[in-house]
Amino acid sequence: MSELRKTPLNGMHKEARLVDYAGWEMPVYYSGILEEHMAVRQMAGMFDVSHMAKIMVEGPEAIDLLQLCLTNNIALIAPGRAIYSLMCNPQGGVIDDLIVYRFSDESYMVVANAVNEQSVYYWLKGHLPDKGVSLRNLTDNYALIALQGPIAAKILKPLMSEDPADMKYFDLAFVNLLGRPCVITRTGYTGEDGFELFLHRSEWSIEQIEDLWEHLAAGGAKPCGLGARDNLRIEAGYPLYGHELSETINPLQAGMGWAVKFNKGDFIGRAALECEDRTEPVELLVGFKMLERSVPRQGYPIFSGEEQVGHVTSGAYSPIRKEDIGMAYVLEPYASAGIRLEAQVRQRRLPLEIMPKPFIEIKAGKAENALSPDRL
Amino acid sequence: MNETRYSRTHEWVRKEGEKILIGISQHAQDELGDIVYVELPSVGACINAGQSFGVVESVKAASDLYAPVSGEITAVNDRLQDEPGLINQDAEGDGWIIAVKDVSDADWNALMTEADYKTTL
Repeated sequence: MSELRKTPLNGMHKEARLVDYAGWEMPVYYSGILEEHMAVRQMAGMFDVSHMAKIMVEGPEAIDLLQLCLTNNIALIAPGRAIYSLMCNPQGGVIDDLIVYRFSDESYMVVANAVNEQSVYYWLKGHLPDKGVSLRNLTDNYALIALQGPIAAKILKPLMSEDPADMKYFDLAFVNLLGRPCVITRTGYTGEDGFELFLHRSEWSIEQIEDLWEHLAAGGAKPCGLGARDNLRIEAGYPLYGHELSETINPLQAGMGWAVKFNKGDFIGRAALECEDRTEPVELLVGFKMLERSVPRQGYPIFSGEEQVGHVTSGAYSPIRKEDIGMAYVLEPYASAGIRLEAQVRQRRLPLEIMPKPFIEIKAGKAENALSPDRL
Repeated sequence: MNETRYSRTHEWVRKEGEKILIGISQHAQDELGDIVYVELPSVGACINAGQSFGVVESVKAASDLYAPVSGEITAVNDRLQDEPGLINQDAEGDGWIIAVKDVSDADWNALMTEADYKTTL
C-alpha cells in the first residue's frame, strides 16, 4: 500500500495513537477520547484537521459553477462569510457536505471531507465551463487547525492582530497570527464556539506551525484527535458523510432540507429532490438514546416488534448526558420523539427511544454563551 | 505468590488463594482506549475456554471477551457497571471482570507466563 499522507503537524502527534484516516496518518487520540471530549466542552481543544479537502474556486464564473454543483444559495454570502451546503448527484444523493468560504468577490474556498477530496474536486472539474473559472486543489498547501471550546476566543486574543470575539458565526477574516498572515473562520464541528485557522505553507514553515500549536497549548487548548471529534459531532447531532450522508441518501431524509434552496435557480439534483417519490416508504434521520447500556454502532438493525424499521448510522457514549446516544434512519411513521424501538445489539434486542437532536445545547453561533475574554 | 497467566487474546487469569480472577491485560486496555461499558455475564454461568463470555465497549468499538479457561462464574465485578473506566485505570487489579472456580490444571498450564506473554506484544 502507498505511503500515508502526513499533515504539517505530524511531528506534534508523536504521543498520539495514530490511524490511517482517508489515506492520512492522523491522531485518533492523545490522552484519551473522553478526556479530550470534556476539554472541548469545558475549556478548549485543538484539532489538526489539515487533512480536510481545500479546493479553491476562482474567477468571474466561479459563483455559477458553485450554484450549479451545490444545493445551498451561495450567492447569499458576502465576501468574508461562509455557508454550509450539500453537493448532490442528479438523483439527489449526497456526494458530500461542505463549507464554502468566500475569500473575496470572485474567490471561494470549498472545504470538504478528506475522504471525498477526489470526488468533490473531480465533480467540480467535470462541470467546469470553458473559461471563467480556475479550480485548484490546495489541500496540501494549507495547514488547518480547529480550536474549539468556550475559551477559544480567549486563547486566540493575545496571539492575534484583531479581537476574535468581534467575529460572528461563519465569518472569516484575514488577520495576523503570531505576526504571520492567517485566514481565521468562526466555524467548527463540535457544537462549541470556536475557530478554524488556515495557515498557508508559503507563509508558515513547519516550525512556525508547530510553534503556533504550542502557543495554543500553552493558552489552555488540549490536543484532541479524531475520536473526540467524532464523539463531539455526534453529541451535537451533526451528520458525517459515510454515516448519515451518502450517495443514496438525499438531504431531505437527512434533515438538511434547510441547506437546499429551490428558489435559487437550477442545480444538480434539483429535479430529483423536487419530485421525490413520496409513495415509497421513506427513512428519516433521527436521534435516539439507549434505554439500556450499550453503545450503538453503525449498522445495528432497529426493530419495531419483529419488523426491521431502520438502522443505526452513528453511536457514542455521551459523557455530557452520561448515556448512550446515536443517530439512525428509521421509517417515517417511527421518526418521532418518544417512540420506543429496539436495537439489535449482538445477540440481544435492547430498547431505545427516539429523541430530538442535538443531544446537547449548541453553543456555536451563540456568542453570548461563549466566555468572553473580559469575563475570564 | 499469586501468579498471573495470560491468553493469546489478551485476557489474564490469577489464582488468589481459592479465588481465580479473570480480566483483560494492561496491553489490551491500552489498545482499546476509554472503556465505557462492560457486558457482564451472570454468577453461576459457565465459561468455556476460547468462547466469548462478555463484551467490553470502548468509545470506538465493541470487543468480545474470550474465556482464557473453562469454569463456573462465582462473582462478577459489579463496580464495572458504574465505573467501567476501572479497567483503564487498573486492568490487572481493581479492573478484574469475573471470578471463577473449577479451573483445570490443563487449562492453566496452557496459558502463557507473564514473561512469555510480553514477548508476544
